[in-house]
Amino acid sequence: MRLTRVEGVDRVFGHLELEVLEGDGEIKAFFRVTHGARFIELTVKGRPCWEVPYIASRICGACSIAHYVASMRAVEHALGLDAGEWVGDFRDAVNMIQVAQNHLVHLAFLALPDYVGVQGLSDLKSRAGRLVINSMKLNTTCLKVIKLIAGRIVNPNTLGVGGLLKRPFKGPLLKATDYLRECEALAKEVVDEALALLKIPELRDPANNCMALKPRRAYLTTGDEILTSTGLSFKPSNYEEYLEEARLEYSNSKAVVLSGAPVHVGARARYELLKDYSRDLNAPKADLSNPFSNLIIKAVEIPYCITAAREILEDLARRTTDTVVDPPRDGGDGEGVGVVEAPRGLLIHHYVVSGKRVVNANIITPTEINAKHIEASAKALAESLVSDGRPLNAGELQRKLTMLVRAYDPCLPCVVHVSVVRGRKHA
Amino acid sequence: MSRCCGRCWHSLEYPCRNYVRCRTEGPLCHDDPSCRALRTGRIRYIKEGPGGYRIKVPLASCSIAAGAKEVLAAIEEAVEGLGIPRDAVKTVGCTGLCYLDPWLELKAPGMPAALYGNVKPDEVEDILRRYFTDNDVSGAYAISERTGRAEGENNVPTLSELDVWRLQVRYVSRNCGVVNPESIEDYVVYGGYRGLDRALRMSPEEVIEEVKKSGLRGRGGAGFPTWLKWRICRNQPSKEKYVIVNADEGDPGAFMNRLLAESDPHRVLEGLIIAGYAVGATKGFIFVRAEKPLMAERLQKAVEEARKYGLLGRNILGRGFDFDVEVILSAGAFVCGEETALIAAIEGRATPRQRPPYPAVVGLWGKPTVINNVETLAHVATLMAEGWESFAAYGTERSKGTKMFCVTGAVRRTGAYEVPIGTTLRTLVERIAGGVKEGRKLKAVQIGGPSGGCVPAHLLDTPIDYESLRDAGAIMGSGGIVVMDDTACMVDVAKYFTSFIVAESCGKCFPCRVGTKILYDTLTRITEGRGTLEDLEVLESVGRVVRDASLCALGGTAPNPILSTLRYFRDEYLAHIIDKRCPAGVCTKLLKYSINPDKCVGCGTCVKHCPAGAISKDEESGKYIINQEKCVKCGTCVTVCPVNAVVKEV
Amino acid sequence: MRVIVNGKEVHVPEGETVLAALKKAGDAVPTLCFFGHMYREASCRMCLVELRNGKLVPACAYPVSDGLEVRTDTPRVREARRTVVEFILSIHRVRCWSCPRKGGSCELLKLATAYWVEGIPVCSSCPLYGEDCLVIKGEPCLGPITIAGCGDPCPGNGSPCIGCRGPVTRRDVLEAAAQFYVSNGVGLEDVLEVASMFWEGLPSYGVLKASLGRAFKKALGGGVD
Repeated sequence: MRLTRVEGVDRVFGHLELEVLEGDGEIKAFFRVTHGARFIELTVKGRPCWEVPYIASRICGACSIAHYVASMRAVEHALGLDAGEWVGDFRDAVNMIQVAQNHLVHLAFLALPDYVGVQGLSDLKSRAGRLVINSMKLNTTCLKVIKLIAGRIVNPNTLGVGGLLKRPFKGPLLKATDYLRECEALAKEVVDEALALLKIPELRDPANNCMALKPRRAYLTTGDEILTSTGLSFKPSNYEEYLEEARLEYSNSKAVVLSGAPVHVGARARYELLKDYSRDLNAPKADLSNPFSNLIIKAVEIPYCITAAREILEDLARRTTDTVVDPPRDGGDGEGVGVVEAPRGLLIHHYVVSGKRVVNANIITPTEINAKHIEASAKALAESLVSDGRPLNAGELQRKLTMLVRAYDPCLPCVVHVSVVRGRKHA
Repeated sequence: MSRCCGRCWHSLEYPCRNYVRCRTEGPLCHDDPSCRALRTGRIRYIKEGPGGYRIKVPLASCSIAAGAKEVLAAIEEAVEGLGIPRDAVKTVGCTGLCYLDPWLELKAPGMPAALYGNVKPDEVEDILRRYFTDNDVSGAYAISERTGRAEGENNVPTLSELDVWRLQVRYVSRNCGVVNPESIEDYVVYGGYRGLDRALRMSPEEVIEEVKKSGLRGRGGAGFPTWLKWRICRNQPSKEKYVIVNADEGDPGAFMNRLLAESDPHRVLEGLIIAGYAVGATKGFIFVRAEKPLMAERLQKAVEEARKYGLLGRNILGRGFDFDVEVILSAGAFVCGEETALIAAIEGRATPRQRPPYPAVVGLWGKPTVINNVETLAHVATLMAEGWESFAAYGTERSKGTKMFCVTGAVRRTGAYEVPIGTTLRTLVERIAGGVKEGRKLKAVQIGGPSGGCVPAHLLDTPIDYESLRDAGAIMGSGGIVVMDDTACMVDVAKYFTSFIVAESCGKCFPCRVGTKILYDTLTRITEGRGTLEDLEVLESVGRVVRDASLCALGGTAPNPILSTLRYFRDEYLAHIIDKRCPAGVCTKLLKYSINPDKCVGCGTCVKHCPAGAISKDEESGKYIINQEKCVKCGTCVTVCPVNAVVKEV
Repeated sequence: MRVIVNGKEVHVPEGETVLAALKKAGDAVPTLCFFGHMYREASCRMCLVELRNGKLVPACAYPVSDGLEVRTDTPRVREARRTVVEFILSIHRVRCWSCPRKGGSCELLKLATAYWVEGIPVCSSCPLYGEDCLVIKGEPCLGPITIAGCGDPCPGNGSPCIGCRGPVTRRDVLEAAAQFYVSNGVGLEDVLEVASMFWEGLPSYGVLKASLGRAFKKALGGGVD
């Protein structure tokens, strides 16, 4: 029995351990999250429903907007509220900018060092200095735009349950579009350079099951239908019929299987499933059955998001809205599910509301969905190294494993939102 | 003080230059045995009394408070019957041996002078009879010399044998308890205004030079060289200048200035006039606090008398020097003791000003002003009369001369004593003032009032000079010394002084106005058992800022009592904070009151008086018990219990 | 006169104060009470600078002399200034929600932020005033009882303050805030509801809840605690 363990995988968000156990002719991989449990699902229980998005957005600073939007939609669904078209588009635009910013940070600073042959960010500067600086500029602009229209660079506060909390003036919207327009060219340049450097290794995806949210308009806008590569299509409120959650004994997170099999979400999944919408991405030819291709799709999503967000904002500036709301302090009863395509994939928030309080909550983050799939890919990777005829080199395995994990871009602080209850699906 | 005969031409319009000298040495302008006899007769009368009979009664604030006026009345009643001439009774000032108040000094021809202490009115007749009729000095506290002719002489010590007198050097206080403070004649007879006479014969620069050679440093607390202050002021180009006596003396428990001003006011006035001359001022002020009315009264009388005899006003002693003095009463703020606040008080509102510029450059109404302490000016008058060597003969290398100190508190002999600078605290506290009372232990000596610090018992051999005291964490201050024994709680002491500062803070700057209150609240919490260790840090850090950032010395020295008690008595603070105990048994909220069942007689008086209903009867024993939870630690039960059964435990 | 400010040499005419030298050197110090010729009494003690011998003097009143060396940012000066700001705050009548200086002109908030003194409510920098104020609209915005320093992105964007920076614990401020809440129809339960989200875990939460309870009771005229 040979155990290869990568402790403290670096250049991912949070604390993670990977283990590959080899023996008896079999290889098993374990995706062990060592990040401390954060009990978010318990924290929101008993809170007034209009407050839950505030707490939810603090699940992760990187995708706070995605959590915020999903949470708001879940509460609205539960109370039977409709925020309207304008607000829906506005939320899309803000989400897109966060997606672009998130991908940028991940690619340029977390994933890229592997492909340039260096370990850390400071070394990266000497190998791909211009790319790093451009990425930083781009990042700053995106954050500036988020601050301008969402109120703050993390934990947005212009959005609220039922609509917006502050009347959006044309000025800031148009200013945001100016910023975005100025950096479109830069985005293209950054992505081209990144793609040139991304020489991804070969790997065959063992079970290419993927899942994504069907947009109602353009790629990466929200929608109300979840699609899978196995041909399923269901409403978010029915997710429990198809997705099973189980607690992993060895990990502080849950894991999800689709009809019993691992499934993945994310840029690659989106691109694969939403071919009709993804023509605007101008993606290079990539073998989508390779988990590493996630990085390539992420790269091309960046300029797309920036342009798409700009167009939406320009359109919004032309249209008026009267959706400034007060929080729904009367509350209500109901159950609601809100979904959104977060940077890392499909995100689901599910609440049960009674009176005005949330009495039950279930959150499924994209990394949670990807957990089992990462294990399967890791197993495939290990097997491929063995099958080449060479003995299993622990060092090389470790390096490749971490590169693989980075391709999925897991977010560990998100994934530990659970309550730790042995065996049982959390209550 | 009047002309001896028609040949004397002295008048206020045409003053004679030798007027002062002539009072004691005269007549100087003509030689006439009868005029001389008139002089010497008068001098003898003043110094020795009618036929050599003298009864001296002190009438200063301390003795009056002790009942001197009643004693005086008893004397006046008794003298007729005893055949003592009425005008033998002379009211004088205070010697500084305040623990003897009210005292009497008796003198009959051929008898040694005898000092009687703590005299009660009903004892007066007996004392007078015994001395004057029976020639018996037994019962006296001390006598002046052994003549061999009085009864009981050998059982009574002479003053020079007593430490309390022997170890003093009464340089400026020489007249205190000797002269009648309300008589300028007395003062002149005893050598007064000689200093002014001599100064006016020199140039102002020479006067400053004389003061410089003496090494006199300001006696108000800061110890600034007096000659330098005068020279800076003198060098200012302004035609209008002022000199002011700071007779505010606000330190609680300090009364040296009051003693000097009530017992020998002319000496202070003389110093002021000399200062005015040296600096080039035409007007002087005496700034007295209204809370010391007798002091103000005597100074005012002195001014009026001086004016009457041409020692104030135009063309003083024919030297072309015009100078007059006004007495101003302060409105009772401690901050007025601070130079700039004093000036501001005269101008209308007593808040201090940022220095520089210093008052010697820009002072009262913008003009150069010199402010000197009462004792400083008394020294000036004395050393000008006797020469700078007489002053510099005492003291240390860096601080010459003598200083008056008021020793109060837990000592046997409270009073005001003048010693050379450099005398150790031990000499002053234990030998002169007699040390602590029987059965008690000396704990600390507080010097400098609310601006000063505590010197612990083990440092009692510290010499009293500006530098040594500063190194020990205290300041010389104006000379108030409070002795504390083991019944004093040092935290409570710090709290007391801080409360004084809080009340007296003028409010102009934030550190003093707010910071001292924070310090006070913190100390209060500690004394009530609610302190934490963080509070000690608060005391130190807030104390630091109050000390460094305040506008004037009131705030700047406010933390001294706290910082010095923290330095030497930290264990007491820790006992209050950690053990919630007051080792000295002072802080009432930390004491435990309980009833001793062996002594309790079950009368129930305590129950009737307990404001918290914390005492109840134990039915079985019939004795009373205090419920510790309910007790508010007021201490009433201790006071009312007829059999002293209530025990106070720390 | 040659004056050395933080190691830099500047020249100012005789008769000027250290403040003029500081200005010339470009090293500003905060002032509060200084008002040109009208008030130069050095009473606030904010403009303290350190001399070479360690003494702290107020720049607005200390005259320059040739060769004078001053430092504007030493640890002692910083401690003194910080403590003075704390002193001022401790006696300040905190009513930021109705103060005309709210929304950016509060000098005390600027100094407190610069010297890391906490305790001023969020209202002091919040731009919502009058009818726009969320509390006046009846919402349980925690601005009056949350410490400022975040720049108010939440109320500034219409979202009521949820107190993420921590509570104001001064009793008199809580009492006045309770008065403000009550007079606008916001009740204790609503405030505590929002407050419990971020403050429940604080060790001082129990005491805070009790203080707020008493404050509201007093504001409603419900008797003495």
